[in-house]
Amino acid sequence: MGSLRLSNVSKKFGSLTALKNVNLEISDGEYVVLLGPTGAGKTTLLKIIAGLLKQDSGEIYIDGIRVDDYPPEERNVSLFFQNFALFPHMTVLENVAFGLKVRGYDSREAESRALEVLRLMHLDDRAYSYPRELSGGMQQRVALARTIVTGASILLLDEPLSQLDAKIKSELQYELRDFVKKLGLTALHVTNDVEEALALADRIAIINKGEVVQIGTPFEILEEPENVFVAGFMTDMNLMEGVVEEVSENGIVIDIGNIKLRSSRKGSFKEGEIVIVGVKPKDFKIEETGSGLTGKIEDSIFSFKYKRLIVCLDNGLRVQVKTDKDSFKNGMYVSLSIDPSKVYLFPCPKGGLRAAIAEIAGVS
Amino acid sequence: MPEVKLVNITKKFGDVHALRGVSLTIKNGEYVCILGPSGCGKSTLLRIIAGLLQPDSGSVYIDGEDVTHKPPEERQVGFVFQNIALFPHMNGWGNVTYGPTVKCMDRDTAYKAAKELMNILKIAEYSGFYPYELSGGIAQMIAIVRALAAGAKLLLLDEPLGALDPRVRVSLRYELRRVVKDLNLTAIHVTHNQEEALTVADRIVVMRSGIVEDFDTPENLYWRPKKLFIADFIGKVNIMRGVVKKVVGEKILVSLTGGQLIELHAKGFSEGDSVVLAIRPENLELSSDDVKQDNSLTGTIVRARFMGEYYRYDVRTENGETMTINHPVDRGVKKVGEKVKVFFNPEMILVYPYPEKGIERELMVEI
Repeated sequence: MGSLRLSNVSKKFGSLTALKNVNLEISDGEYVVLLGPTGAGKTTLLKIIAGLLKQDSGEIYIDGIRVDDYPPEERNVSLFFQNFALFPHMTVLENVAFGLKVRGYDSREAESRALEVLRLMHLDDRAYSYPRELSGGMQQRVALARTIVTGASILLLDEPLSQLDAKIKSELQYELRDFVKKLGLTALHVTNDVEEALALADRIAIINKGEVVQIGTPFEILEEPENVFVAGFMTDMNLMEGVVEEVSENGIVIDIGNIKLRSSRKGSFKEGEIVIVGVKPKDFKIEETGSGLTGKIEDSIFSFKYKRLIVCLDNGLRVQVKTDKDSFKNGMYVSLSIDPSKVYLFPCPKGGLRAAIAEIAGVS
Repeated sequence: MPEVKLVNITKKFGDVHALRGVSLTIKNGEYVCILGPSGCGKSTLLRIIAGLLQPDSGSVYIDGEDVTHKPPEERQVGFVFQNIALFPHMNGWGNVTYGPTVKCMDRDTAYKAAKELMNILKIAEYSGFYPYELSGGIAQMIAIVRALAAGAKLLLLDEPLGALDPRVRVSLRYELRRVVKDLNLTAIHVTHNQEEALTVADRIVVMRSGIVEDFDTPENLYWRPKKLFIADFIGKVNIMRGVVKKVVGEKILVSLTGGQLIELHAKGFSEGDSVVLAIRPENLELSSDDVKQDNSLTGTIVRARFMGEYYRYDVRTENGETMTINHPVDRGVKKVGEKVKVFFNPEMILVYPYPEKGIERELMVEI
């Protein structure tokens, strides 16, 4: 058993708001990733759940029981830190068994439980190795075994993969998810890496400046981002400021500076309202001739199966377009079109698009 | 927009060979990445180009001139480090104009140039801010302006995005490329991140243990790598062993471990050769099990993840291997446990002779 519910959790450090009315429900056995830029409040939230920090207001329920007054060791959670440190003078087995011994298990029982976890993680043949004899990825797995051995059903992971290089990381992340699922654990995993979140999560909670701004499956988040921040943080969408010109049953017409786009997506926008228009690079259809949205190809960048073209539109806006055709070259004049159902619209945040982009890029 | 030519550069640190004879030519206006695992010698090479280190032997030419023994300040290069090294007691403007000031350049010209650079990099509004008030991304942009403010046309970047959030890293890499192209600079950018190199560079130098393994465009390195090491290092590949059963013109028939036969296009192999097949996840196609399909293996989906533009499926195939397939979203969704056929497009399979010292040794990042 390991369900978790946060209700209106808030926390301030002096005048700085770290968390603002965070609500989050995680079911037993679910893998949830808390994703957001550095400084969004992710680690603070984990520490509060673990009982290492006290929230200013709001409640935390684990398995339906309010645990706000429980010390960390009685909360049924275990916390895995980014900068895990194995004891260098202890073997893998001793490292994993250490926590149990501290909790009063006799040493034989502690080691037999530790060995069982190591077996589950396919590390039993390294039980008598020392940390320095293991690769970085393997050390990470030992550290994870040490966290899990305590038997807590909720696993809190603070950037567990951030110190690994790209190749080891992409192998280990799937392994991590499989392992959590196999043991029937509930996981709340903190990261600032979008790919990692997509690879791991049943659901993703996106946090910005202490507020959870959207929760959903990877599919929901990528296909139906609810605001500019989520759209910009999660996807490579082109974001442009525009003015609503017309609202009718045929959709919404937006002017993005002498260029008109039509959106058939839902949304309550008024004529004259400033909105943010979003178009994914892969949703542009590009042709060598045609009318409508025209511009010049300025650059062409490798993007695996695609080419990412930088197109300067006639009104001076630069957009990114993804194509799998090879025929487009720098300097060519091209025409773009978009299916109106692929034209996303978002309310314009305070400070306009510039502020929104700065926020996404973590520069505000 | 200088040209950089390196001829047979070697460098030892004690007993360690950091560079073992590196020769390459970087063209005017090119954006080149030097990619390799840590310890491959990539930063050493960059420092030698900058003049911060002296090679044991070999020569460095910038625009045809031998600069091997010239100090850094006479090389007209701008250098940007990973740990954004701005002067903490100076604001953005102070940092940016520091170079021209100490070099006693004409004040009006230098200030005008610095202002223009700030505008091109879209950071003019941060002139008055001190480094501690800036986010990593902006601070790094200021460091880039500082590197260029004294008129450098050759920009050397050592893991410039390494200290930033992943999301910022992505948006800034396009910004970096744009600035280099707009200003007509030559850029040499050191990174250990494959995706970063592939999506920012015109050409990539791949290094391993002090040697240049290859120097080519992202397209060629990713789709037509000359070596198995490159295929594996530069992106995900599925690797399978086999033996050539038959050669017919430019086609070969390969028997996989498990006995399944796969036909593919390849030259220079003979019957009986041991080979290694390498296949990118986006080059394998999935269909349902009941479709009759030549050149395919049957298997079961063991893992499925939605990755935005594709589903990533891991398939356990009949010959006991697990293969990763990127399946475009518009081609339908499959479920874990579903039986499928994995189609091998003969033209999309990379094939290499079985490495003398074994696959594992061939793929090692340090040799």
